[in-house]
Amino acid sequence: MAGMEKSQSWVGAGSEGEGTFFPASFGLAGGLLFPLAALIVWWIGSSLGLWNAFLLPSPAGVTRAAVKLAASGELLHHILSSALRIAWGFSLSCLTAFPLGVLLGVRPGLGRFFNPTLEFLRHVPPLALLPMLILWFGIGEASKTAVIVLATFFPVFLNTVDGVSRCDRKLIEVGRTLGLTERERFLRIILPSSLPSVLTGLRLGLGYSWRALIGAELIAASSGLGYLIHDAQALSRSDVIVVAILVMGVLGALTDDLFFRLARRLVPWRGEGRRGGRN
Amino acid sequence: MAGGIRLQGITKRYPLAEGEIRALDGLSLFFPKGSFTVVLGRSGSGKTTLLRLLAGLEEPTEGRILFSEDVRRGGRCGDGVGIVFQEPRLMPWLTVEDNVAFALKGRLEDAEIAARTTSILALLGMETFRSAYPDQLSGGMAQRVALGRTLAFDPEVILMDEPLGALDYFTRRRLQGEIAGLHRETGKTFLLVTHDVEEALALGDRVVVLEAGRVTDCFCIPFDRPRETGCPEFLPLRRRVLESIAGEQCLTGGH
Repeated sequence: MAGMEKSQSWVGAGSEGEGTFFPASFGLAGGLLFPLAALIVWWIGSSLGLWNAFLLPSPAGVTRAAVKLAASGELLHHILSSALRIAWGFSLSCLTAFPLGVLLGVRPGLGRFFNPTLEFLRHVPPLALLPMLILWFGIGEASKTAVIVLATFFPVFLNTVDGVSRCDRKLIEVGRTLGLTERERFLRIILPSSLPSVLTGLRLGLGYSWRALIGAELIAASSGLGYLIHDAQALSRSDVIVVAILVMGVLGALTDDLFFRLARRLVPWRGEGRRGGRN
Repeated sequence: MAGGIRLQGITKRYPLAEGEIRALDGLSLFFPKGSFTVVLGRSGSGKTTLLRLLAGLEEPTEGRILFSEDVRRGGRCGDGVGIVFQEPRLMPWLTVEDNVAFALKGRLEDAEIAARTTSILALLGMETFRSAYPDQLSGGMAQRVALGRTLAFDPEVILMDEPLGALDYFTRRRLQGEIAGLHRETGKTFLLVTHDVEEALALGDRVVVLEAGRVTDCFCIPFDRPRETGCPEFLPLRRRVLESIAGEQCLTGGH
């Protein structure tokens, strides 16, 4: 099931000479190459007036808007609103998806009771449910939290089921021959062996949570980065829209990087921690 | 019962889509305490099934396995019998040291675990790799750690399912020497299954030939270890064992 939900690799992030375009020694500079090139093209195009500034404002205009939003505290307010919703929604999602995933991974027979419902829900986009969620939970925080829970539940759940159920039977046999009880086998073999898959699910879920949140904030919110975009659209402030988009991208990349670092600490045996790879 | 493990009329059948396969067929054997028995046979002769039954991983369809009191402590699976599998089966998330100590956590005091792990790593020459992860080890090293994990568990009987099968010739020879040394030093009951005649003759006090789930021959090896199986006094014995497994026709190319 979770085989479909794979973590994406970043081109050029491997070690030198392992089929990557740029050597590893480029490091952060290598990663900034394309953004810098895009910035230069953007700047030159804007300076030469190649496109209408309303369609794509100049870098200087976007910078001015960003400074103004930051100085007034408005940007921080919207960032915190979005981040808080993600923290709530993602935590709730993990608290439900992980135990259920473990349960179905350990007892696959229970799947026949849960799978039809879960398969139905998995194929309904969370944003499609938003009008109903607003009816049920109101226009406040609960409906947006529910959207995040629905968006992040399945990556976490499916990867947990996958990790637990794919635990190498041969390792479990080792536990049996060494006299481990069923509980010990679960805690000391099944759970650690599923950790890489669970972390992949958490990382994917966190990425999905940003996407779902912005969608929800575009429709029904009075704060948050999605609301900032919605409001800027109404006021024809494309410079503010670009600021919000850039902030979302940076925040998403930062949270993903944080998760990568956490995974490197928790699963050092996967090699990432020792070799510096990221694939 | 004299100390050891006795098999009485053991039969193991596996159901198939149509019919069944008989992996062991009325097997009766005795493994005396402190002995080193090698079960030799071709693929599909029932060697691994025999070990899995002895390790408690499967139950016989018919027959009984009797453990003397001093072998099967407490009657719980793993209490008195340890097994080294064909592949190392190390926990990839644990270091060499933690893999060796795997069965001891929660059963012994930390200080005792550390002391036992250190002595086993020294015995196997793996002290310098104690912090390494399994994917950083060669096949021979990983198999040594697997052996260390079983030794740390301190079972009275050590079962080995072709543990050297995947290793190169030189590593295999070195580990054969180490296994023989461990048997001598620990005095435990060793039971090794293999399809390698040289390995069987190099290690066993006794070589039991298994064919289609039945014992077809049994040879006592009257030589002290370490043995050089290529020397002249081994040749007649080697030929008899090979004949027992492959048949005289096979040895002479069918002529």
